[in-house]
Amino acid sequence: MQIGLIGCGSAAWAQAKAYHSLQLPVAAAADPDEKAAQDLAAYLGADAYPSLEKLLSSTDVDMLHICAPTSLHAKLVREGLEAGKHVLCEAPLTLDAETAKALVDLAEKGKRQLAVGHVFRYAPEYEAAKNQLEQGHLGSPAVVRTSRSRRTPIGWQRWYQDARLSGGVILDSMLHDLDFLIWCFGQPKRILVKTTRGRGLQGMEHALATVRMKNGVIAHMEAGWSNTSNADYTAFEISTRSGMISHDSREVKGLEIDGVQNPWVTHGPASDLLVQNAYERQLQDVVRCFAANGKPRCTGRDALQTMQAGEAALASVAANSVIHLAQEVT
Amino acid sequence: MVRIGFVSMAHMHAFSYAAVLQSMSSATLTGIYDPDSERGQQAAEQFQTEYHAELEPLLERCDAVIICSENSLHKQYTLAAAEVGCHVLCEKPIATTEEDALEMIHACDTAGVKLEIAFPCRFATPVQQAKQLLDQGILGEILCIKGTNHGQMPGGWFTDRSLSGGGAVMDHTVHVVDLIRWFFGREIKSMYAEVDTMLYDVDIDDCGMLSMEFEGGMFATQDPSWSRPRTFPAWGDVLLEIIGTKGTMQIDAFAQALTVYDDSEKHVSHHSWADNMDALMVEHFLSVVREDKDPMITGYDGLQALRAALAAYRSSEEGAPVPVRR
Repeated sequence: MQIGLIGCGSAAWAQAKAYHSLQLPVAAAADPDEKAAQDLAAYLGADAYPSLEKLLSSTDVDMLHICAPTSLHAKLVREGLEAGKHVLCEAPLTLDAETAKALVDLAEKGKRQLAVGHVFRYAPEYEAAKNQLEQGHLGSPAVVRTSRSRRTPIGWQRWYQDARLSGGVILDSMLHDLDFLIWCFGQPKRILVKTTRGRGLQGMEHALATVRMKNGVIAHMEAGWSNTSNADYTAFEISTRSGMISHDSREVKGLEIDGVQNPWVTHGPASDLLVQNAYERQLQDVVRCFAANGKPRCTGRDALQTMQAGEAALASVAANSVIHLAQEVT
Repeated sequence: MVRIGFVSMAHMHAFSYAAVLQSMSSATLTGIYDPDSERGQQAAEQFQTEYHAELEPLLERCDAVIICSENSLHKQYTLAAAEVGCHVLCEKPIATTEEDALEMIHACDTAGVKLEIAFPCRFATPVQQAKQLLDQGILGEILCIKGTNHGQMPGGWFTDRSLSGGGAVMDHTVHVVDLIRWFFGREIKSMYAEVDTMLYDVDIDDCGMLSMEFEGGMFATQDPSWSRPRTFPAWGDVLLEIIGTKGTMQIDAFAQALTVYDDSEKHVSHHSWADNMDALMVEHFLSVVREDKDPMITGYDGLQALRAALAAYRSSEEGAPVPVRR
């Protein structure tokens, strides 16, 4: 599998470290920022290109990994698929469901694989919770709470701060929990979301959502972009008829040293406290599936379902009311 | 010396309030009325006071009563107390219908007796401290609030609609709503809620999720579910996360507790070492009676918290946000 990495900003660096530790060969990296492309390419021992177009015309790769800003995903994924490449695209796949559907159709028509980086499907804490539920000993799930916070992201030319380009905290962060809910419980039935977008200082945003799943589960999702020191965490709690599963990354302290800045990441998809962290597990599975025509955990079609729910979340904010989800688009 | 009587020990908080009273020198526990004679007699024995099978003789000997009956009976007992000039500290929720709550408020007003609603969380020291800091504007403009008041399923009359007026949502909406109203002096404009029975085989709601809009563009969510399993180390929680333009505040009203691992019981549990919020509330109520002060938590506060819970049920039935009256 020859791999091309598209977009060489901060998202790409998180992936590059995973490629590096898995010793997966990245042949080429592209970014219009020449220095960014060269730095990342040098780290991976790859060739640097100023654009996807140049990369495709100059070298032969089997798969592309899209790590560019969200608003560029649709164009880059389409170009990749049209060139006959398998594509792994970072989440969110697009900013709306219609565009996502067109990409999924294109991949299926061209018999190319499309996978989306809803990386928490590979995070062992989330996977373990799903397994616990599936074992059945806890009984059926009833109330689910998820929380997710990160430092207010900046990105190239502050693209995160333009909700038209990033979808704000709802598509950047909350979508991961929506994806987890869908992965575990199926489609949502209705959703109501409120957000502080545009009212917080320095790009902070905080959103709270109430979701009813078609299987009856009632869920609450919290997602924040925050500037406080304790901003980076994920948490969930699943109450069932015979018990409860809870996780809070702030309470998981596998290794800490006082008095020095921890050089390692203690939790989250980039955790250094796992032989393989979620990014690495995801890449390994996706690359293997692309090579052997297997099914990765989050296909384009899976991501389309999640995108439909994400679109409903945005619509709920716009309408300031509850949105009932339509039947699945197939 | 303020003479206090208990009107029904149906609500478990009665036992905590009675224990607190027993230890206070400024009040006497005059007696306990309870239509359940066994429960009443046992409690009277436990707290070394008199059991009354009839309400009126007890009321005549009291300056004030603490009503810990089933929710739907709050009204009749409050009216009876008001009629003979007894001040009332009434367990939450104030009542099970708006009409009952309004009648209680009116009756106490007319009789000139104090009516205070028992929201002890206001008296938790971390909550008091939070209120002071919030009053100083420490968080800037308040944008949104995430609240939970989880609990274990209490069983008993709590799952009998005719006595409780509702399940988890009735039981656990009012504390958090009361705290938010008290912190910010703002009322709820609209309520959206999911309410259901999914955790237990009971004929009443045992879980829910509320999303509210307050005056001034602030929104809040609140989880009132009886979703703490039997093996949970505590009865539940009261948590608030308040997000403002200048910072975020987390309040855990019950955080000050030990974790105790008990092999003999095969259970892990939390044991509080916090200031006793029930004691602080009862002391406050005694001072209201003694010094003829205004109650800190009025009947209207109780009514507004009840209206929030009732609106949640209405919203869940309609599947849409509903306005909340004031």
